[in-house]
Amino acid sequence: MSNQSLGSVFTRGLIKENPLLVLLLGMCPSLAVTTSVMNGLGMGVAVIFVLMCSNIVISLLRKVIPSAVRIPAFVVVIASFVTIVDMVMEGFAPDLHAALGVFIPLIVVNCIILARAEAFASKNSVLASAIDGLGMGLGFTLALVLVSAVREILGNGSILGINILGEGFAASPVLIMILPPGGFLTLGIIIAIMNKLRRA
Amino acid sequence: MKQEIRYVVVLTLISVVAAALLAIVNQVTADPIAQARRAKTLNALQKVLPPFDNEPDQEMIQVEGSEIYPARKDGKLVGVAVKVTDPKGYAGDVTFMVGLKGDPNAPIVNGYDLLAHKETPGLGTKLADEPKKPNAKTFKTQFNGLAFPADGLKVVKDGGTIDAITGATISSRTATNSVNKAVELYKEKAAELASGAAADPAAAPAADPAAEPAPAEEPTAVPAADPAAGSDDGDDKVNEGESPEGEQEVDNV
Repeated sequence: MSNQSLGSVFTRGLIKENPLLVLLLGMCPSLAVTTSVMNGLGMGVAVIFVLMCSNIVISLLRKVIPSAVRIPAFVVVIASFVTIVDMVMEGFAPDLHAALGVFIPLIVVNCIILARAEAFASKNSVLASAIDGLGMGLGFTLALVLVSAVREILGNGSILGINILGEGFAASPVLIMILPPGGFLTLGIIIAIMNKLRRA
Repeated sequence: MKQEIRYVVVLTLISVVAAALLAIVNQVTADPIAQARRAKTLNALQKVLPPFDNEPDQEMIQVEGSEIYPARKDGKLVGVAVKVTDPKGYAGDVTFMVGLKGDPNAPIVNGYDLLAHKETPGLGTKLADEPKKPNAKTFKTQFNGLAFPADGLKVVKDGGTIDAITGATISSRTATNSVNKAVELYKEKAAELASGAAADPAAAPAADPAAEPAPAEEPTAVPAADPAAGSDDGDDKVNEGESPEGEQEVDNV
């Protein structure tokens, strides 16, 4: 692992090992918050922050933490950063906080973060871990934006809240796309397309 | 053994550092969070109340989980906003800020603001839709300046006058039920709300609103209100008794 170039560590998370579309991690919050692009972006940015911070701290502590108690140690570190994001967001971006609701605290149990801590940060240098966090976080955000763009356009006729498909469509959109089934449909189809592209 | 001690020490140290960090962040964000929450309440109050110049959230009265905010202008009561939570939404609690004005026995609904809900996106969430053009109509605009009928608000399906949102009758009912509840609380607390003004020295000349509490003692629509006036327990019973009553009416229709 350690002989990889930093560039490949960064780009790996974007497409080849995209956490949501290839590794299939963090599906639950992804399905729930991707009803609008704004929510997808907000969730993505929160995850990037938590993922980078927790990767850096865990990488710093990787020689101190005994492997028998590494999981509780990781969870405490991750939970602390999530709580910070939660409090800062409620204080300074209350609207976004209200929209993301319960899914901010649930970043704690987002598998991507624990998976990166376990699989990468606990074995690699601080710089590589930070870049891994950024790459994986950006890949997750890209995937969220992709899913939420499809759902918002079809289910609400708009993108980032701006109507693009005309009044007629907005009056009777494909409502199911922003309901839970639409999340599964969109994610499933995007993953199928990704699989096809990766094999081609 | 030595290894076990190391586990404990490392985990404890990590937890202590994390706790200290969170304490610092809490210190920094406590104020903005309180302000953001207050701004949200004030924003909702401004949406549903006629212009006021007091600070309604400083005079808020809590009753049975609802909050009543009196709005005054020049010390005179110009309206009240009631924060009501209806547990019978399509997917759980729905919280409204309902603005009322005028005589508590025949109030005028000044509008409502949807504060919190878990309703279906695209159906129940239309409760919050504002008209896109001036003079356009949404579910919500039906409540602006609506004279409250003596027998309470109901959706058309239940024999009332409010057009429900298509596909979201249950969500629509939470709005009518919440307004009914708000009016009930306004009636119940009318005397207290008006006397709040008298307690304010600046409001001393505003003696005429004191006429309002008098009719409140002989309410026509809330027969059980009189014995309840004394005790808080009584208040609860009155309300519990009333909502099923409303339900039955609905079923009969």
